[in-house]
Amino acid sequence: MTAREILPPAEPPAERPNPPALAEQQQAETMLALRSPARTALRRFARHRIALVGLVVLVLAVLAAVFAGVLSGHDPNRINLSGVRQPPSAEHWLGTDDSGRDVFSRLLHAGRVSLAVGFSAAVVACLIGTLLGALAGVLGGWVDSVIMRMADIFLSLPVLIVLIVIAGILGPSAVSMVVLFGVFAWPTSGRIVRGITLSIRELEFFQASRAFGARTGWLMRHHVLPAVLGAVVVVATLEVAQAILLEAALSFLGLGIQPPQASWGNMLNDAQRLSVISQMPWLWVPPGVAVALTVLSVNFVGDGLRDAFDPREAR
Amino acid sequence: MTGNGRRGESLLSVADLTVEFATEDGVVHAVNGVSFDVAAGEILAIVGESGSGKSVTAMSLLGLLPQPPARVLSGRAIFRSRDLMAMSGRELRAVRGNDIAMIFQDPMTALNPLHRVGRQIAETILLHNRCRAAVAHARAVDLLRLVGVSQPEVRARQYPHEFSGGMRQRVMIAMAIANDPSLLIADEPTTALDVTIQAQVLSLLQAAQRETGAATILITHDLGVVAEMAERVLVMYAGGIVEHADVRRLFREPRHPYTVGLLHSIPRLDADVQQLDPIPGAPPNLLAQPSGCPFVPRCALSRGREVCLTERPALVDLGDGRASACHFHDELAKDKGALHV
Repeated sequence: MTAREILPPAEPPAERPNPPALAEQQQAETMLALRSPARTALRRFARHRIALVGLVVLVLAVLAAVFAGVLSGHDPNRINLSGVRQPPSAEHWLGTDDSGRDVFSRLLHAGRVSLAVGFSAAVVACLIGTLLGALAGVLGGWVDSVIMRMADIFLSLPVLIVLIVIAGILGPSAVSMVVLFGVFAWPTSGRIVRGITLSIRELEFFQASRAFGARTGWLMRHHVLPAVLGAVVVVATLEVAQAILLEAALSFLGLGIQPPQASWGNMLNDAQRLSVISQMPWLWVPPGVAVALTVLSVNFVGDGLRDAFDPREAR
Repeated sequence: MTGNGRRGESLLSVADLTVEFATEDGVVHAVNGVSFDVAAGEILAIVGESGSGKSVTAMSLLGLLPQPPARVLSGRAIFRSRDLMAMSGRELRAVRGNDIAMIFQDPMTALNPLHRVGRQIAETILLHNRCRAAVAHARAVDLLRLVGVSQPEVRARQYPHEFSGGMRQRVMIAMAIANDPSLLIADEPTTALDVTIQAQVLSLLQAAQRETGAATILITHDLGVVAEMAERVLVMYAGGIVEHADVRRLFREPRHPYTVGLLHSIPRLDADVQQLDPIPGAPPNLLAQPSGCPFVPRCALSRGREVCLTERPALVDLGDGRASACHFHDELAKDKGALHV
């Protein structure tokens, strides 16, 4: 029951100083009632121009990577020694590289690897982070201490150097890169999830659930997960960007994706020589731009999501 | 309904419950050796002012106090021949919400704002019963109807913010009786509500109690609620029970000066009173309790007598099911009429 239903009309509507404003307000109230939290967030996100642009770029990049075979028309790994280092042409849109491979085709196929590694690494990191953060928050006590000290340890290690060492020991592969990134990047989401969980744990509905016989896992699924989802999604986008950069860095150093499979990082690695940099920009500009553009888009999307999920932004 | 024992049989027997909290300033003795019985199907009220240990007593029964800082030093709570205090976490979870259900004080915060109301009720059913989600949801709608929510099918799909305070407390009651418990603990169920809504929720609580036959422990500081609802009353002060009587006797002939003070401080409709008559002073600091009676600094009956300062009075059985923890309870007997200060 709203206050308007209970209160008798104090004066006839005609005497109200500003009837149109009132009608507007009523309309706004009914709209507010119809709006679910998800819809509100979506609307706020759509208002964020630059995030929308980022989303479009990202979707295009993903589509290009998924349909790489159809779009490029060339085998990315086919060597053609009679046509090496050709500048861009109608046949090879972005030219060919040292071995005569089509750069455009390699760029798209590299996008597959880089995006897949980036997204799955972020997902692994956030899954581990959410699980451990929620456990630490719900259980508290020594479990909390152990998990959070682990987080401190992982945060204090220089990720790139540790990854280089481990890649040297285990041998480089996409899967180990994803797993290792997940293991090293979880504290970011873990800390955020723990913080939110701690505040939820004090709320009465959480206590009430306990009083109705809920188990730890149940409390995590039903009360913690929905509450932290927004924050985790935001962190996840930022971690996608980090993972893509890290993949590029590792591959550039020759410890990530191994040739002949293309990735943005090892394409840049192939283009290290001074003569290439000064005279054959089609070998290094496209992968460089691809990395920068993707990471930028992901970050913009993350920004937009953060604003959309932020309840303090009341629009 | 069945399975809740014959009326009058002892359902819960609490003995010598002592709970303390370790704080930075020292140990707070929140509950000191409390003993009471709850019979099947009865309504027992626990009254007392803030910090008298009412809620802590109830929370400790279900093992809901955070430990640390809380510590249950001693006590048994025999519920259906099993000791709640000795149960493992798993056993306690099976009891919570199933055999013993709790209704919380503030319905505005006791529901998760992110889940639909029907789902929240259905989930309390699914916590203790193996059944399909659709069955649980149908039962949730039935429960909403039972607690007087109109259009239950529609309301079940709404979120808590679309419910008023009174309606939410109805939802909480529906959740509490969902698994047909044999004991309901209502922790100040009407404190957060408007007076007009309070009456509705109380009568609903009574109806729910009749419907399920569940014994009810009603925790409150509102003597009006006690008079309306309860059969027996425990009066708590500074973590201990100071008086125990059935509700008529308690109101007609209180046998502890604290109860007398409480009754005097109620505003009355039938007398023209200019000013309310509060109990002077403040409740004792539970960090450092004096050796004597905890009520002595505020007591109108003691008048500085030595024994009140040196000896803590035990809860003495006065016959006819009443007990008082006062050295001079007999001076309060009706015929003496000593205390009208």
